[in-house]
Amino acid sequence: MKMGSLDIKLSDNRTAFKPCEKISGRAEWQLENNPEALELSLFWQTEGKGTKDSGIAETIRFDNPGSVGSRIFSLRLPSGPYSFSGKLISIIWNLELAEAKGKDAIQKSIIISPTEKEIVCTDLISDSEEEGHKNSFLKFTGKFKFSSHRF
Amino acid sequence: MVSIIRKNAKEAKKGRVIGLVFFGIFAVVGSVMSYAMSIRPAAKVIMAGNWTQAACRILSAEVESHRGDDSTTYKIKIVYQYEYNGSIYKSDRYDFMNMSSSGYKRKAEVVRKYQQEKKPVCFVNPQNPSEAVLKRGFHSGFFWALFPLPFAGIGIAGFVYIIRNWSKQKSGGKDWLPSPQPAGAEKRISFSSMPSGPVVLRSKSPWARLVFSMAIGAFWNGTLSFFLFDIVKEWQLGAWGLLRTLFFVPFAVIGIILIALFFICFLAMFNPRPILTLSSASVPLGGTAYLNWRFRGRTNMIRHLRILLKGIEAARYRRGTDTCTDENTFFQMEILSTQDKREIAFGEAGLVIPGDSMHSFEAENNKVIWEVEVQGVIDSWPDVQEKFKLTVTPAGME
Amino acid sequence: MKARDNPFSAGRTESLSYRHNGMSKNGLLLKFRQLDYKAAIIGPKGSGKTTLLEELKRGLEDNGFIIHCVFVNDEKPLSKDARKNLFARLKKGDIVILDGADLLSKQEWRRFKSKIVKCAGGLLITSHRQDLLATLIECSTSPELFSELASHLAVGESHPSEELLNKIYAEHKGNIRNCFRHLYDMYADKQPAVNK
Repeated sequence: MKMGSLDIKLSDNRTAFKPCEKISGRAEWQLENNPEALELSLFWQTEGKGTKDSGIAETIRFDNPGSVGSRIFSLRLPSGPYSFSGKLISIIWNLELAEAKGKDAIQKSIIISPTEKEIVCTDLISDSEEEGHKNSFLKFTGKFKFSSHRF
Repeated sequence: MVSIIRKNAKEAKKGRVIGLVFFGIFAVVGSVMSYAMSIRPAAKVIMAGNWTQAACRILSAEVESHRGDDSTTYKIKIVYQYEYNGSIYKSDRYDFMNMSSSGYKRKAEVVRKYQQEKKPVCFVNPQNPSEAVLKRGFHSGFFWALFPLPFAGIGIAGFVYIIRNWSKQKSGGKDWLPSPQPAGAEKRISFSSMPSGPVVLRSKSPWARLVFSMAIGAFWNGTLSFFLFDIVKEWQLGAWGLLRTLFFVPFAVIGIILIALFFICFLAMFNPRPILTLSSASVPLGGTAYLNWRFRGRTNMIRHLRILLKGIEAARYRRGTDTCTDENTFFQMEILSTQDKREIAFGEAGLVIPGDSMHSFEAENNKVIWEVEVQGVIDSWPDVQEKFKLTVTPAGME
Repeated sequence: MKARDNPFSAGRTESLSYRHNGMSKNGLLLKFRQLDYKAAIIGPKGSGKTTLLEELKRGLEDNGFIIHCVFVNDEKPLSKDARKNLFARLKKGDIVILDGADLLSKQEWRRFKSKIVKCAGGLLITSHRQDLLATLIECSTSPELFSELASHLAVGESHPSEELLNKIYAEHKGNIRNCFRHLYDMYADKQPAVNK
């Protein structure tokens, strides 16, 4: 590691996870000064056609970290939002290690979704009238009790 | 980045407080003015329908002028005396509005009429005979009574909007997940406390559209009427300017469109209104739900009914002095398409939310919205077009 | 195309630096000082006023000024309480940055300006009009500027042709912000009118 650098190493070098999964890794730093604290934050942000939004899911604080050091961390991922990309909006998850009151920071992108892949919805999924009832068992399935005038 | 997120969250909360105060002031001032200028006078006019007619004697009649900073306004001042149940009373109330306003000529005509009137009559409140009025019905002066209504409407709407969106459900850091809001919910219900049984979905009230179109139309056409009045006066005097008239035309066209829009919204108020019941307040991705529909009103008006499930991204961009919002439909499924009158009237369908899609998401500027859209084609009448939001949660979420 | 990969996403366009044509950033900061720290950045919509404002804000902060930002747009008016909060925090020597000054009414502007002059050290605004404060700089756009910015953003992607860019520029009457949003839609829909 060079002087004045921060790094986040995830176990097994994984960067894709399922919601609510526990993730662990190591935060490492080699700084020129001795910061009061370092913070490891898990947050999401949007990217796309709209103004950016963001939200912090969890923060772990390392007090008196010293100018050189490392800490093992472990946190449970939230149930959502999923990593997602549509035409207008992408939701991106990041881990950030930063000095609590400084400017130095490093970010590492991760994916959170049930398939461990980003949910992509860039093309319109539209059921035609014939296929439409695959996902809508409208009163044609014998098992389905249709409470209407038909009875 | 994270420090910016924390700062933005603090500022967003401050912004909501400021917004509440701003709209609150609008709502209070607008409501007070609406009460004083519109509701109270209108209520008095309605009650005065039962007042007793009595002969009166005009003591004095003149047009009072009030000199302001920019212009002079005028008010009808007629003092009259009347007898009721053996007692003599005096009053100077002309009508229930009698505001000071511009336009001397018409007021002077009224005063002249009462000065020449041989047998003037007034209307006396039998409950309180000291209260009387010369002109008791509604008239064109009541147009000004509408003036504060849009301000009250905007203030109340803004205030309610901020309150309803104030506290996002906060358990487990799920600020991004919109709370399911069934119709009839008194306040924002937290996701975790939502009952699991069937819920009636809420749609945007057609009143909101009507009030909005009325407010915009009233404001636009009200402002335009000043210029129209001047132009008509010029025509009458034969001194009309072609350029001035032509310049006015596009604004008049917009005014006519706004009036037409108001009428369409008004007619749509008489449409049958769909009532949708979903088997649970929220549905997980890959989950099943049952949707029941029925209508309030005359469903035989509807020639063709379509019910669609849609997933939509909505992104709002704010930069400089402008704001724009874009939407993109990423999922659409037809739940029902029918012309059968009985199926239109009511029915039920099951649906499965695709498991590989995206759940509902709501942040300040970016949203993923799931909704059920009801489209009812009505011949020679505005169609039924209503949208009902539903909350789709991540799979397996409790 | 995914939103995150679109070269004309909001995050990318907002991170573009202002293209100085004539006076550099330091030159503008010097001029701002010569105007007694009361000046306006003027220009039509989408001409880079907010971008330049943010750059100058950073420059002023680097020079040790404390900056208070106020942002006004069609959806976010300047409420009485926002003003009150701002004035309560102000100290002599602080600079207030107001983006969207011409959205204030005449009366609001007069009151705001006189209060700032009394309580703070300076005021830097953006406006579409010239009559509010002394002009620091008048922002403008050109087809060449738009082409340069679009090419910069579309690095690695298929470049839109000059003809297409000129057409978009003309359609949006020089509003580069709207031009970028137009290009965003084109790239999102993978329209064939782009050239490799």
